[in-house]
Amino acid sequence: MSDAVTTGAPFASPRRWRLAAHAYAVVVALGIGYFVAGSPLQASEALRNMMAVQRTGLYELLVSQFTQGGFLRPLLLAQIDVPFELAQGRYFEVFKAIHVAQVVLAAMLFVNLRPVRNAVEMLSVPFGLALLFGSHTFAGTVTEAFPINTFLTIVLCCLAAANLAQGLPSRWKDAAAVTLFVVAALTVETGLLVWVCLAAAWIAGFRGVSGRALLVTTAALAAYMVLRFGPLHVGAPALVERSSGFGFRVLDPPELIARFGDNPLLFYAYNVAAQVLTVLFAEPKAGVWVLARGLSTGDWLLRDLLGVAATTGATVLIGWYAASRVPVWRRGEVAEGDRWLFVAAAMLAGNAVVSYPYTKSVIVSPAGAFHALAAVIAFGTALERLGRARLRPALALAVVLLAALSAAWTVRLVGLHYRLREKAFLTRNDWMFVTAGRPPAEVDVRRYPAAGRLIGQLREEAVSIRVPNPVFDPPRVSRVFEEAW
Amino acid sequence: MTANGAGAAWPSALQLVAAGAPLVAFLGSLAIVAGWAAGASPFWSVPTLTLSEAAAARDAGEVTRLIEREHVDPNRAWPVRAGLLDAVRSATPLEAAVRARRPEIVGLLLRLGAVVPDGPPRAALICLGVHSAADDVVTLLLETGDRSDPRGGCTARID
Repeated sequence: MSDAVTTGAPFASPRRWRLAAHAYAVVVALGIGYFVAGSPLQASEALRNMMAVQRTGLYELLVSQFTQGGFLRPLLLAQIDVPFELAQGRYFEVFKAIHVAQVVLAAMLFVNLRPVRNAVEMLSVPFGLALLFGSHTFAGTVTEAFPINTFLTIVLCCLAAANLAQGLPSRWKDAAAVTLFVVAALTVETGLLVWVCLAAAWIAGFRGVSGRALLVTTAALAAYMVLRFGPLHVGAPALVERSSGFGFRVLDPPELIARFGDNPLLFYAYNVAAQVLTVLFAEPKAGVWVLARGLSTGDWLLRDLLGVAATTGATVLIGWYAASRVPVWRRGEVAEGDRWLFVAAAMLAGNAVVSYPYTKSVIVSPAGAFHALAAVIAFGTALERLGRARLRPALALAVVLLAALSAAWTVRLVGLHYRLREKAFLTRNDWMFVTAGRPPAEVDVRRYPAAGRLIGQLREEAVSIRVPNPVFDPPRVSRVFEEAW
Repeated sequence: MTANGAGAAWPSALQLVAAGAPLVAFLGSLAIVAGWAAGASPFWSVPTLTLSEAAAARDAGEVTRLIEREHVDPNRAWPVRAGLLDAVRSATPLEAAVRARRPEIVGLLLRLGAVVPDGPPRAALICLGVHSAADDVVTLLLETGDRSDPRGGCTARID
């Protein structure tokens, strides 16, 4: 995409195009938010988290989370605790409002990373949002109806860090960058990617956040590592913590230990490679080679082929952009789009490394967001060249390929809405089988009567919410729209 | 005139073709947001189900709502729309759940007040489970009533 400012028609100034891009992003995000708001809160992990914050004070919660093994996430429950207390019993409304607001904010922060000054630049915005929201790496940030979806929080933190990094420097940006890193890192391990984003952006030449602030953030990262592996003895997650995909299926912790207990490095290397590949090619998904398995057995689904084709197409487009820029880079010239490409590559590497203990698509949602950013830069450049070139066979082919890519990503975006609706049905059903004292509601309600009331209230709300039943949808729909992995 | 060059204002037809697909989806987003703001429920049509249809369609939420909120009787036959349970047009919720091979719905119905009738009707229900190849459901039903096992008498298919 050209960085030259184009004024366009007098009735559509660059500022108005920028506003239009943000308005478009808000509408698309609210369209997703509508389906997010239609689902009850999740009945398993969400309920456990809410019961945990209900019976524990904020200070006690923070201290206890600093000393648990395997994970260092003291602010995860604290972020649920504050709105839980403020909600005054209106948990569903408050947590859904937060979730929808997060989706809207993600869209706005994403759009804000690219200049939109005229109609052609505006044309790449819908494509970018389709990539951001339609990616299988993003799906889990909205389909999982946690009180606060931590994965989405980290996507927001990384996009916010990127926004801070661009533009002119200022002290408030420095302070915000350091704060953002500390909050993200203490929320969940992938929060460390905020540092990756800030450091990569600085190396790439963005100076919105100063070198001094980056040094402070780096010191905070070092302190985090020292505390985690030193006095706090948190360490890293063990193989027994989670199931994880490997090859053509998901292995449970006992299987993981049996296979990799003596040499987990091979398993960790597989996870890192799988996470890189899933962002670039949508295969494997959560470590499982879904399409390859389907093709080998002859039982493949169109949705898996579509996901791989769309994501691979976007990656090829990025590759084309990078290749086309090589002569310019050799002259020592670097445009803003090139810098974002570098940041996206760093985010991909960093995100894959951070998620070495187990594979899950949503863990690489930050890298997925930056992959979308890189793709929209490449797409914008391709669109710009289409406007300059004369019609010839190669150009016609390029138009067809770009149109097919846009269409594939549009299907993926629409598919997210469908899966959200389906997930609402499944989540509502889950609540009908929740019984206090039994998983996932393991609590002694005689000792904690408030927990019993909370379970009862959330179940009653789930009963009240009317949700469409996917059984009555056309059966072919499910074969086209991807599942969240 | 270039699309992004000085003075260019609008995309060419080729650019629109290349990038136009997501704009179609945007119309859907607009409809959703407008409908949401107006208090409507776009793309969220919830069909009215009988209790037996809800049981057949593994709709645990609707089963619960109908029994707990609407006080629908879980022990009588209710109409079933064509195609949901093959040719069956009327069934009790338990029969519907058995035919649909949904042990969790059978368990839910029993918890919410559905009763497995004693004697021949119980045997018929268990035989229905046998003919539907619903092993989990049969195991659940065998624990009801007098706990007798009538499977030896399940000879002819019951439809």
